[in-house]
Amino acid sequence: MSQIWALARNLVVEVLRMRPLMVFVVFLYFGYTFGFGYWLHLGSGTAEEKIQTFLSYSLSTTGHFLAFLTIFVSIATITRDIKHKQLFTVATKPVSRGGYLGGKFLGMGLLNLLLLLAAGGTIYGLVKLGARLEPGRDPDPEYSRARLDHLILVARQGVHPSIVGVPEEQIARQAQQEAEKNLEEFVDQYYITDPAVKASRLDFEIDESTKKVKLRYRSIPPGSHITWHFAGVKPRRRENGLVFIRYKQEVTLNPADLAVTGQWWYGPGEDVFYTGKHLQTRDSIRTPHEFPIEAESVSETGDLYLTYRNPQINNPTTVIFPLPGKRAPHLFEKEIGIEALYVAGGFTGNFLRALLLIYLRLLFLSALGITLGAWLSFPVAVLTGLVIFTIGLCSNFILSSIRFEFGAKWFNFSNLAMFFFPRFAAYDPIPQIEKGRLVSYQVLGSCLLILILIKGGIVGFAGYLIFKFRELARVIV
Amino acid sequence: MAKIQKNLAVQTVGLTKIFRDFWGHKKVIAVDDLDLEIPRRQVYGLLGPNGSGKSTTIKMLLGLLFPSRGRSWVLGRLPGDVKANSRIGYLPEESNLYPYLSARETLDFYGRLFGLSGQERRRRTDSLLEMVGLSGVGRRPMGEFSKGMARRLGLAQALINDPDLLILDEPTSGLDPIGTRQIKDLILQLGRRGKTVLLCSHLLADVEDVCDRIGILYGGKMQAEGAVDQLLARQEMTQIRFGRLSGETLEKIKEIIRQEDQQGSVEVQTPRDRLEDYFLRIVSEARAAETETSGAIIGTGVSEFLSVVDKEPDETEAVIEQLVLGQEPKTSPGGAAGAAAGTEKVEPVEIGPSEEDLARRGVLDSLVEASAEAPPSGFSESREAQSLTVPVDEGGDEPEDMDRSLIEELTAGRGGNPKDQATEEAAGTDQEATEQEDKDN
Repeated sequence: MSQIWALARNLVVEVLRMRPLMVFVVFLYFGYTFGFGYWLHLGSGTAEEKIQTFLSYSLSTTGHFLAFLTIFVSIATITRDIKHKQLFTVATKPVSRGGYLGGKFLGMGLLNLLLLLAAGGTIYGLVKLGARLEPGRDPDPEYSRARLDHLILVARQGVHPSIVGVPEEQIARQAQQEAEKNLEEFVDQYYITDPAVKASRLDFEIDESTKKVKLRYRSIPPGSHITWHFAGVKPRRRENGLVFIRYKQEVTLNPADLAVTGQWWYGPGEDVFYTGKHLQTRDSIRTPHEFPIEAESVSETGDLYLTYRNPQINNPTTVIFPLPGKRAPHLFEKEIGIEALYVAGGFTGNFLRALLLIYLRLLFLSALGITLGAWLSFPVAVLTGLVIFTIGLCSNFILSSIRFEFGAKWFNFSNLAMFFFPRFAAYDPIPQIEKGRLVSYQVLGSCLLILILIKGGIVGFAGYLIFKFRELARVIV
Repeated sequence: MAKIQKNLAVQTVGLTKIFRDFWGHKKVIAVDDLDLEIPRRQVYGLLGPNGSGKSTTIKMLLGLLFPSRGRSWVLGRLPGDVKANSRIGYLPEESNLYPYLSARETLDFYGRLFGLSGQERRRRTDSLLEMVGLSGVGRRPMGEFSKGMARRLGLAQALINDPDLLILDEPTSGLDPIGTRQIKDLILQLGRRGKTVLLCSHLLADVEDVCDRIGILYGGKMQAEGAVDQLLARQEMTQIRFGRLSGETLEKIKEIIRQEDQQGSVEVQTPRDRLEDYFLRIVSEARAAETETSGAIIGTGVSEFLSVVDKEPDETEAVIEQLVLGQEPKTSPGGAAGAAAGTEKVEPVEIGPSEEDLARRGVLDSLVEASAEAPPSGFSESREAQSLTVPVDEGGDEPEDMDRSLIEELTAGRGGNPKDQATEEAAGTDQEATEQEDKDN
C-alpha cells in the first residue's frame, strides 16, 4: 500500500509543479470563476436568475475543465513515464504493474479531489455571498430572497403524476390498437411483406401511439378538467412547509396575449375538485411556471391530488400539458410536463452531492485515461479519450438522433452499443442544482454502480491486462 | 527443464530476444540463446560493443522486456517478481529520474516504494547524498542537475534499499573522472561486502578495474567468459614493483635475473601516473584548499546502512576507503595517513620474513633495507616507484636455483599476479591495500 500511496503522492506533486498547467489553473479557471461571478454581479436580471446562471456556468466550467485536465494528465502521467523511461526505475522496484496503475489512479483521485474541493468551495462561497447581496439590488428584496431560498438554494424532489381514472393499462391497450391500425395502413401503403420490418415498425408505432394517447388525456379542452395524483410526496417539513407545482402549458390555438388561465384545486383526497383549496393562474404559454401550495395539503401517506380546469370563458383553446422527458438531454431543456416539487434537503448537501457526481465522472475518466495511456501513445490516447468523453456527454442526443433518423431498430442497437460508453448525461447534476432540484442518493448510487464499478471496472481491468502484458522498454539494439 | 540454482544471483537458460516488425517478421535477434550464470557475491561485467545485447539482457532480467525464448531467474525468482525486486538495485543506462523532484525527494520517493519507514528513509537519504557527493544540492530539483550529478543520484536511488543484487547499466556514463573513480571504488567495496554486482559497460577499463568475472557479448551471443585475472594474465611475463631503488641495487637485481635466464631481457622503468590519477590529485588539492563549487563534491565512502553479506567489514575497508578517498583512516595501519586522494598507490612492501628466509636471500637483504627506508606512504611519491619487468620462459624450464618465491613475495603475492593472491588471501591490511593499488593501476 505504501508503494501505491507513494506513486499517488508523486503524481500530485508532478501536476502541482507543472508551472504552465498551474498558471492555466489559477488564471483561467479561478479567474473565470471569480470573473464570471463579478460579471453576474454587475449584470442585469433578478438575484434568482443571476445565481442560477452562475451556478450553471461555474459548475459546467468546473466539470468540463477538470474532465479535460483528467484526460490529459492521466494519459500523460503514464506515457511520459514510458517515454522518458522513469518507468524503468519504478517498475524495477517492488511495485506490481497493477500497483503502479493503482497508484496513478489514486493520485488522479487525490488531485481531482483537491481541485474540485477548491473550485467547489469557491463556487459555494460566491453563491452564498451572492444570495446575501444580490436580492438587495432587486425591487422587492424580501420576495427575491424568498424565491432564492425556496427555488434555488434548496434541494427539491420532483414527483410526476398519474391521471386519475386513466390507468396505465388502458393507455397501453389504446396505444396497441392504434399502433396496429397504423401499421396496417403503413403496410398497405408501402407493400411491406418482410415480417422483420413489420415487427420493427410495430414497435415504433406503439411507441408513437403511446405518446399520442397520453397527450390526448393530457389535453384539456375549454370547459373540461383533469385530476392528477402525485404519490410519494414527502416534504421535509409539513408545518409551514411548501410544495411547488411546476408545469408548462402548450395550446392548440395561440391566444392573442400568448397566455392562458388555469383554475386549480388541490388537497389530500381524490375528491379535490369539490373539497380542495382553490387558486387561479394566468401564465404565458410554453414557459415553465411554478406556484406554491401548503405542505399540509399533502396526506400523511404522501398523496396529493390536483385538479386543473380549463375555464371556457378565458381560454378559447385546448391546453396541453406536455409529456415529461425521459432523461435530461445535455444540450436541450428537458420537458417537465407537470410535477410536484417538495423540499427534501438543503442546498449545502445537494451541492456536495452534485460535486460528488462530478467527482465520480472524473474517476471514470481517470480510469479511462490511465488505460489509454497504458496502451497508446499520448496523441492517439488523448484523441480517443476526448471522443469517448464527447460521446458520453452527448449520449442522449446521439440516441435521440438515431431514433429519429434511423428508427427503433437502430436505436435499440445503438442503445446496446452505448453501454460501452459512459453516459454522463444521465448523471449530470447541473440541471438539477441550478433549479434547486434534489441530486438524490439514488442517482449517486446508480452512478457509483454503473459508471464506476461496472464500466470503470471494465475499463480499469482492461488497462491492467494491457499493461501487465506489455513490454515497458522500447526496442533498442 | 532448467533447474534454479540457489547459489546463483542471476541465471539464464537459452535466453533469446527477437525483435519483430509490425507484421511479425524477424527484425533483429538482440540476444541469442544466452546461458549466463552469475554466482552470488561476485562482481560480474557484461561487456560488448554498442548493440551487442547487453542492455536488452538486463531489461529481460528485470522484466522490462519479455524473452522470445528461454528463461531467466534473478535471485531465484522470475524477472519482475516483486519480492525479487525488493532486493535489487538498478541503475538504468540513463538516469531518468523525475525532474520536478529534488534529490532528497527523489530518494524519499524511491524509499517509499521499498516501504521504508520515514525515519529510515531520512537516514538513508542523508547517508546516500553524502556518499555520492550531493548533500549540498539535496534540495535542488533533479531537472537542474548536470548529467553527471543525475548519474550520481541515479546510483543513490539504486542503493536506497541496500540491495543484494546491484545491476548497473553503463554506470560511469556521463561522469567526471572523480565520479567514475568513486563508482568504481564503490563497486569494489560493495563486492567486498558480499553484494552481487552485474555491471554492463562498453568501457573496458571500468570493467577491468572492478570485475571478478566478465562475459563478452557480440551479436547477442556470449563470445567469451571467465575470471578477469585468468583472461588478462600474461603468464609469460613477471613484473616486480618497488619503491625507489638505487642504480647499484638495480644492477644487482638485473645480474641475478641474467644469471637465472641468460636469454631474457629486463626492462626497468619509472612508472608514471595515469591521467585519471593526476586529475584526481589536482581536484583533491583544490578541495583541500576549500575552493567553492556548485556542482557535486567528492562523496564519502560507502553509506553505513549498506549491509555486509556473510562477513563483517574489517579494518581493511577502512584503509581502502582512506586510500581511495583520502580520508583519515579509522585505524592507522602502517602509517598510511595523509595520502592524497586518488593518486597511484604504490605501497612500500612490508616484508616480514623469518630469519631463515633472510639468510637465504643474501643479496636481497639490501632490497629489504631499501624498502624499510622508503616513505610510509607511496601516494605522493609514486614517481619514485620503479617497475621491473622480466619475461618468463613459458617452457617451464626455469633454473631450479632461482628463488622466485622471494621476488614474488616482494610483489606481495605468492603467484605471479598480485591480484590473484590478494583475492585468495586478503590477509592483512597491507595486502589489501596492495590489492586495491593494483586494481587502481
